[in-house]
Amino acid sequence: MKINFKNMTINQKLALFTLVLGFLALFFRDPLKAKIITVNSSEIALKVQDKSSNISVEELADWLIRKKADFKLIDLRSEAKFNEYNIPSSINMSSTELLSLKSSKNGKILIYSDDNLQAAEAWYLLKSKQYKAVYLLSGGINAWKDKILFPSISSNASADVKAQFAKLSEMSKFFGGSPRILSGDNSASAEVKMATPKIAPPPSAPAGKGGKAKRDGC
Amino acid sequence: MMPYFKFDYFGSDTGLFFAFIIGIGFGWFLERAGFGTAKKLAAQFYFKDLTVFKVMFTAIVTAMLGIYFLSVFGFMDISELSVTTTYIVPQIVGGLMLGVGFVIGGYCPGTSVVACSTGKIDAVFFLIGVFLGIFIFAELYPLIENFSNSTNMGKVTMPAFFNIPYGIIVFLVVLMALGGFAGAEWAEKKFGYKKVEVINED
Repeated sequence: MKINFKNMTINQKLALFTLVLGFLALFFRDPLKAKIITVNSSEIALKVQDKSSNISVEELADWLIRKKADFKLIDLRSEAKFNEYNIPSSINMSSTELLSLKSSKNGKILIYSDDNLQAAEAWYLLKSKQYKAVYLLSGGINAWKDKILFPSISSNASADVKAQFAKLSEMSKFFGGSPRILSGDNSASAEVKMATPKIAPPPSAPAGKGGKAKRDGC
Repeated sequence: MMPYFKFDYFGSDTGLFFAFIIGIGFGWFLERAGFGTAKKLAAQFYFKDLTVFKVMFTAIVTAMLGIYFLSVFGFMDISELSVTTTYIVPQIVGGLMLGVGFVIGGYCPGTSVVACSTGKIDAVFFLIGVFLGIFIFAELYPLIENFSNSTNMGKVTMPAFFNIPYGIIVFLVVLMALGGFAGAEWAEKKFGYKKVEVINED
């Protein structure tokens, strides 16, 4: 059967046009799916579970001291709080600004807030926007203050803890903080000075606290 | 980016203004298609005149293709369109009731307003019936509340429900519509009265 376009009625032409459009529709990407964010839920669940996306404040302090610059440090707190105090090299951003973040999807991003909760939300947000390397500062700025700026130690702590504390004290001074010794035992600080700093993570009280805070955040 | 209202291009007052303009256009086209007369509307149930079916399906296909391609080319955010919630069983029951009313009264709610505006007396009575029905429904609502909220499927769309791409649904609906048009033409030839008579009757 030969179809003569000129002999068709207007209705038949419209029907043909509709058929062509309908057929073309098969070859376009789904407009609804393009808008919907797909999340690799098992990857996220795994990261939440093994805490591999968590960076401890000690680690961050170490990076900053070594002047590592391969990461973006983002402060999610209010502008007022940010201006009052912020971790060196950080930039202030709100969660909505974070949505329009122009940054490489593969670049390392470390986010922090007062504690873990807000940062965890932002972490999820960035993860769902396919940012590959998003990290969470474990315990947030509170942990930073507790452990890096004003680390404390009780005078009857074990030698291991004291060794770690010596390292923390140095870090603290680097960032302009002041380490504290909780009970007034003079021998404690002397012992700390003599001990060699260890790099292994300490089984100390502050670290335990940090671990708990991580769980809260996730 | 469409839909303009959802993206705050204008407020609800301006929105009502546009609704007014579009509503007048909608009514005008319904009237011009012959939807202002109960005889024509009821004739479709006897396969005598399937204009209503053809006009409605044309509207569906036009809107669907328009929305689809506007979204594909980034002029519209399809996820911002309002989707009414599906309550499958109550909606089947309600649909059957509306259908029975349609056959008996000769109008659906929208076309009864169109017919009213052209001064059809039967449409005035039909419209009184519509408001009476709304009133009775509201009064009975406490008794049927559980039923009317049952089988809630949420804001479900066909691509999401059948988990197949949007484009395939678009294509299938186009095929269905074109098949429907061909079928309607065939039925009109077989069951319909002569077109000349219809025009004279009006």
